[in-house]
Amino acid sequence: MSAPKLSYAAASILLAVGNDYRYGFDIMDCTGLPSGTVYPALRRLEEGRLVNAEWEHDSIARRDQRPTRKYYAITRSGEAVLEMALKRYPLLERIAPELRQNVRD
Amino acid sequence: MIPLPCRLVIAVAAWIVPKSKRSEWKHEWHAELWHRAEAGTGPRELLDCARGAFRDAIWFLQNERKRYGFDLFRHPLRTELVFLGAAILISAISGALTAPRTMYANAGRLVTVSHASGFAGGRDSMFRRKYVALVRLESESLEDLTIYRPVREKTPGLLVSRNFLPMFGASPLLGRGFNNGDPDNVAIISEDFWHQQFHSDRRVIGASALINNSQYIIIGVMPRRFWFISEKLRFYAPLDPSPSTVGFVGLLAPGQTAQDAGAELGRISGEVDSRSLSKAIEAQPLVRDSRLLEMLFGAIAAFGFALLGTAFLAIKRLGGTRYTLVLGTRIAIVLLGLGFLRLTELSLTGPYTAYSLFHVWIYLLICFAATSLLIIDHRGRCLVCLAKLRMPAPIGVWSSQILDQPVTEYVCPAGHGALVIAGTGNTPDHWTVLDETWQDLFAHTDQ
Repeated sequence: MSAPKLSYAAASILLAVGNDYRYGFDIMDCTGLPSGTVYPALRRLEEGRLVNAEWEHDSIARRDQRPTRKYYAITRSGEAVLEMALKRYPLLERIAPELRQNVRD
Repeated sequence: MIPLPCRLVIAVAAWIVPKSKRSEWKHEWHAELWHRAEAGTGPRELLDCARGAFRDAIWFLQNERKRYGFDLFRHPLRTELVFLGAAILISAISGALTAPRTMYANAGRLVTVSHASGFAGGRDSMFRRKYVALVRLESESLEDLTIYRPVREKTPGLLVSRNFLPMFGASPLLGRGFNNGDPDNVAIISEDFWHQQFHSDRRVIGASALINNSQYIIIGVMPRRFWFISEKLRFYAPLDPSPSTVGFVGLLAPGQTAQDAGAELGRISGEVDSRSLSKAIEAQPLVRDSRLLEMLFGAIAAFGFALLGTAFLAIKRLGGTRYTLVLGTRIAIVLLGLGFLRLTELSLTGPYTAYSLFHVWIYLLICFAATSLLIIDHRGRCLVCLAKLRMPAPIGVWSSQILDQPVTEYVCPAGHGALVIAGTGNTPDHWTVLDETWQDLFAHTDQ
């Protein structure tokens, strides 16, 4: 079965998730895409098992007195598809190292 | 703290998300907005973010449709109740449930008077002019009255006394009503006549027109919504003194009822040389509130068609009591909703459409179509859980498909059973309960 071909927006979102932007609105900020694009794309990526979604532990949220958040993480197959997408979209490939740097900072 | 507009947006969008995912979906959006608000994002930006929830919710809906197919009646009975609620709301908003709409300002006080015609129990609204003059002089229950005489010629119309329009509280769309000083050859035409004969020319006022071989000067145009006796009337002209019989409409004095007026008019008629009149005079309100009658008609139609639907299932020997009762209830609820919508339509269009046979037949046809659609939908549902049956599969070997009638088998997505529907109408549908060996196949189904 051939790997899914991602749109530019979906590839940007997957790149963001792959670089530790784990929450929906953080991905929005990073990619500059609106919430109406980011969230449906995240659902599709999750359905295609390219990302995993998990709720953080209740105790963490309770300790910080805030609601629990759902965070996203890239899967192995997601990484493989991302690699292919970066080859398709050279601009994304160029900004990928900057993205990693931003997260480390 | 999430601003109220954002919370409202999420609450509304949540209705689109399938029920099984709704709670988690809402939590995710609330959490994200909360964190965004805590980070100092302004209310306008938060609202922009929140609006994306609609597209996210629609994704869930489309995804579910891809998986399970589109089912308008995903929740039978609930969908029908929503329709009934919407129909009642529309009726309430349009005012159909409160006071009936009427084009007469004095509707509650206007009465028509009739007497027994002496022919097969019929009634006649024409009286001798002498009697009407006496009523005008002596009646205490009627504050005023206006007289009229129909013109039954090529162009139907009405000859009326000059106080006709003021008594109804109606005024022309164009021009003016009758004045005491007007000659007999003035006329007020109907809006339809104005469109047909004068092509809606606003210069019609003061123009001359030949109506029924008589020349008239047009002084006004009555709006289409004004209705008296018949919607076919094309003109109104002053009544000349010659007719010996006229009809009349009375304006009840304050505190008087139509029954009071009828009794008094009967007494007055005793003074006229017509004894038979005095026993049979009746005064009826000109505008009758037929809403109760219309609702009764709608309820009878709903009950009748519900019986039709349940009889159909009985003939097909399909399903148990619960399955049959659910169909009957669905039909009754939908048709009650249609009854409310009909009430709304009648209140907006006017009184004469209610009695139009064509109108009634159209309504019954719509009821029949709605019943048929519901029967077709219900027949394709599981007899146990009422979920839409899936996976149609032709049954039988190839040769028997040619020699025998074709059949199709549908399966309940929850594994309750399979329904075999014959292609021809003569064979009853056949329901087979699936045993536990099939349950594993449906264990993952998200129902």
